[in-house]
Amino acid sequence: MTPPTSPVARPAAAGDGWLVLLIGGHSGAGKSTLAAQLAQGTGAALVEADDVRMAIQRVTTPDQLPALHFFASAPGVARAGIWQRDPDELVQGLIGVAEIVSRALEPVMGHHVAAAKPAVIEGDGILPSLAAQDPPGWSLPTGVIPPGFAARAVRSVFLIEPDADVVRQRMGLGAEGDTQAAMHWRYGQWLRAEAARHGQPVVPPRPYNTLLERVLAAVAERARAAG
Amino acid sequence: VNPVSDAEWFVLLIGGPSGVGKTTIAAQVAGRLDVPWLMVDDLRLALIRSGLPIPDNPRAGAFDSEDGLVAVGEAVAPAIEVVIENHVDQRIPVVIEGDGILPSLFDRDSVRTRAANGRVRAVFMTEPDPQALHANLVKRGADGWRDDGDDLRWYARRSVRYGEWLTKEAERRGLPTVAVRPWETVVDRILTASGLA
Repeated sequence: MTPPTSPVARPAAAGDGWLVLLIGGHSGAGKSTLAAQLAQGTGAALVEADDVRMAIQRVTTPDQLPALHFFASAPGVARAGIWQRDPDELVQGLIGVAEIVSRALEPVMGHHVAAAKPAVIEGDGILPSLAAQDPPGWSLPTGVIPPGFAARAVRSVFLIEPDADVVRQRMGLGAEGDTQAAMHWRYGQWLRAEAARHGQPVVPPRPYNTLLERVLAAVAERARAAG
Repeated sequence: VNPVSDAEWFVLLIGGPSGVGKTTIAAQVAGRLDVPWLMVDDLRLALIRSGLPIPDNPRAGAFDSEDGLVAVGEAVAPAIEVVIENHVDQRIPVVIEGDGILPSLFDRDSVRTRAANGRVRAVFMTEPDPQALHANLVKRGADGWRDDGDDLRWYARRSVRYGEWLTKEAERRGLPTVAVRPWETVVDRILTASGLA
């Protein structure tokens, strides 16, 4: 249902007061495992951006949303010759998909903030600009979110692996996999620059055994910065 | 659909009309099962933002009107279906809740196929008392419905009617229904009804 038309009373006590926690980063960085840990540890809902992407792909055609269907000509069918394309073009393709996914996530964020129901949202389709965004994209009536509330209620972390070889090993794919792994790594480096531009924290995934605590520290730091 | 208790499961759907407390229940059930949970409402919002022609004011008319709750459920069904496919195929368990979950999801080939051996399960929450639903809606603010005026009473009555319809649809397909009260035991009763106790 749609969010309430009255102002948010108080943020629910998920972690240190966030209502939406965005876990971004490239494919193969370990986002899903981390996001599930965070959601289950706090009782928050878990929104996997991949579920959202596949749902929109299922109910749209390439004619309606060409950028969303860049990689597949039909469900589960890679576009012919896609992995022979120029790496820069492939990264642009990923960015195009992420733009549509992030746009679709805006009202989802608004829903959780306005209803004070915490959610962890995870996926490579999360753009740093989404985390830095103010409520206007959230489809909420004016006044639902008090000024300054969004900066405290919404946090993000971007998991980005600096070493291209590590991404390739983690994805463990065949010959075409090398192209895909290289694309995901390059997309990660683009995300890093975008995160810096929008003032969002980047966390290196390794060492994995300390990832959760490093992410929690980065999230808490954002709360202090927001005041 | 008769879930086998020791079978592997990957999706548990929790349906029922709005106001019965599905979101709270889903979070608790997911906590007990130690898996993540997801709201159908989020899929609906994402689809609307992406330009899909989904009725955006389903509370305007009767639940079974052209742009009512059933129509919304049918419009989001392909999205729920793809999430079910994804979680079964990737073997990643999840609890999904929402009033947009229709028993007719199990009529879809891809869901029916994947639901074999209890891999996809569903329970539908029921609250036969409009007064109790109304009180619950007032308490939590009813998703944008103001105060406890006539609108909200109408909303509660319609929610009860929608619940009755969902129950019939569920029973027709052999899917379990669970009363939300007594509230203290609802999580246990859901786990039992879905064969996950």
